[in-house]
Amino acid sequence: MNDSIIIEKIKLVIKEELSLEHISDSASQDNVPQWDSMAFMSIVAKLEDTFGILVTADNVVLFDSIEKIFGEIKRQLSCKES
Amino acid sequence: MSAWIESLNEKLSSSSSQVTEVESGRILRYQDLVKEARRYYPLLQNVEQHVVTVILPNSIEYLACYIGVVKCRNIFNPVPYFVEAGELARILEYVQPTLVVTDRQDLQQRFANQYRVITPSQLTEMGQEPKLRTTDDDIAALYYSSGTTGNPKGVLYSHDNNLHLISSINRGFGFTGETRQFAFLPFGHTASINYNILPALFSGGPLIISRGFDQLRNNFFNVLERYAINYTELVPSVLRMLIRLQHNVKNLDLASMEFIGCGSSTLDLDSQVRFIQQYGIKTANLYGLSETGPSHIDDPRESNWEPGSIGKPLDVNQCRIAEDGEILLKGRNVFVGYYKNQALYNEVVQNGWFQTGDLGEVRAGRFYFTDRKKDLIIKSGINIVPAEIEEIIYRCTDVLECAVVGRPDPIHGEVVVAALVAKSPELVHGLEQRVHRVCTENLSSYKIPSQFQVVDEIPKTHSGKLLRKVIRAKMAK
Repeated sequence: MNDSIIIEKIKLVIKEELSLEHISDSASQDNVPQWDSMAFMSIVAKLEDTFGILVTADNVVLFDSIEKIFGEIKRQLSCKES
Repeated sequence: MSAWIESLNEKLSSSSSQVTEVESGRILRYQDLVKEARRYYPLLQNVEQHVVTVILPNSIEYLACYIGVVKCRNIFNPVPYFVEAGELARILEYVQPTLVVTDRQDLQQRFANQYRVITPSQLTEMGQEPKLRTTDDDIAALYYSSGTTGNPKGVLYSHDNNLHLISSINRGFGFTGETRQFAFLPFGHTASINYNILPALFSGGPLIISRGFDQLRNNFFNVLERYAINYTELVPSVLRMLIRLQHNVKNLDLASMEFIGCGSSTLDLDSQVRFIQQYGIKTANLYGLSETGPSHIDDPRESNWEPGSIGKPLDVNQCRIAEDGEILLKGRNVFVGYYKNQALYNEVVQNGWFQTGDLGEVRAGRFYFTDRKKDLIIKSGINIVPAEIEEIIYRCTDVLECAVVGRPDPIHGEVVVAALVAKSPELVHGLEQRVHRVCTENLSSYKIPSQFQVVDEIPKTHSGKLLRKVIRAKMAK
């Protein structure tokens, strides 16, 4: 899966979970008010299902911004491929 | 002076315990907390039994504010910190506070022209002990909710209620001046106030507080170990999240943890058992309402304990199951009234028995919650009233009819979903987006439906009443 597809899929999950029409690449819990602690849980669960990744106590802090989510998903997908 | 304030004063001034903020590291002795509270006296000395609305984050400041308000004979009205301005406007209009305390700049700007709004940092002058003496019948708190019919309701909780409830909790749960409590659920909700904050202050035991679960996702158990916590309270959605996150606790010493209480919404047996197996911490199923506070104790420390029940009634109240299966409660923990609505109070409290609106059963002396009688959605432990959301949806003039119900959700327990009927076929296109926009402008984000579904009609009885069970079943598909 190439980078732009991963980012678009991440954005789609977040837009759906937050009921937003648009979301920028720089979106994070700090700058999107709807991305509260409740929404966080839903987003994490949806990302796990969508990408087949695992979110645990060790990497959960990487799921509060699109940039960090992308990095972590890419890392996990690369590990799977190799 | 009310017995509640007298006891609280005595405990706080004689205790050597302290309150600790996990994230900032700030520590304050209870004796100094009482002094901090004096900053609220100059503002509140000359009014009595007025409402003070408080929108503050979990913090030492929050505790000082509580003490300051109730000691001055005024009414503490907590509102969740993440409330949307539009929703707060409706709350303030209803409760008409004499003072709003918040550190949120957006709220200060929005409401400064209509209400007296202050931020704690503005309070620098220390006041003298209040001259007005509290009585047992004084109202200590007003817990606002939207009301099951969409009409707002405010639960009035007296000093006498607090004294008897919190004493009973401390006896039933075994909280003493030595119990180390950890509070991280939002302080704006009664669960945190009743299960953690007031029991700790009233017993004089150490209280460790966190800004919220957002800060604890990757170190929750480390915090329990670091502060040698004996008890904390969480909600099912947090418990399920902790199960998912698979924390490694093998190298942690959690021997101090006596048990965890889990409440505010239904805890399914499977999650309860899995959590206990995964983390080896006894986990109780809590039950209570704003109108009564916690009414039962499910004590997993008992030798013959089994998961699944809500336990036995606390000694402050009696509990019985009505003929139709409704859970009824009677005792000095039962609230004294609804704000500006005596008729509603008379409807739900009869001969001292409070009708909870929940269904239950009793087996071998233990009580079991089975279902809700009223139309309430509980998302991540927070009560959401369908009628409030429906009222907002009707502001979209393209909507002919709507119904809001809860849909089962593995993370939150339930999420909000809405069925919509358009006024005419040509308005169907884009209706979901238009309704969503109206909701976004007027509701806190957790109340905005996760799904809008345009339907041809909404199932109703012959008399026109919504058939919510049928709607729920349809929306679950």
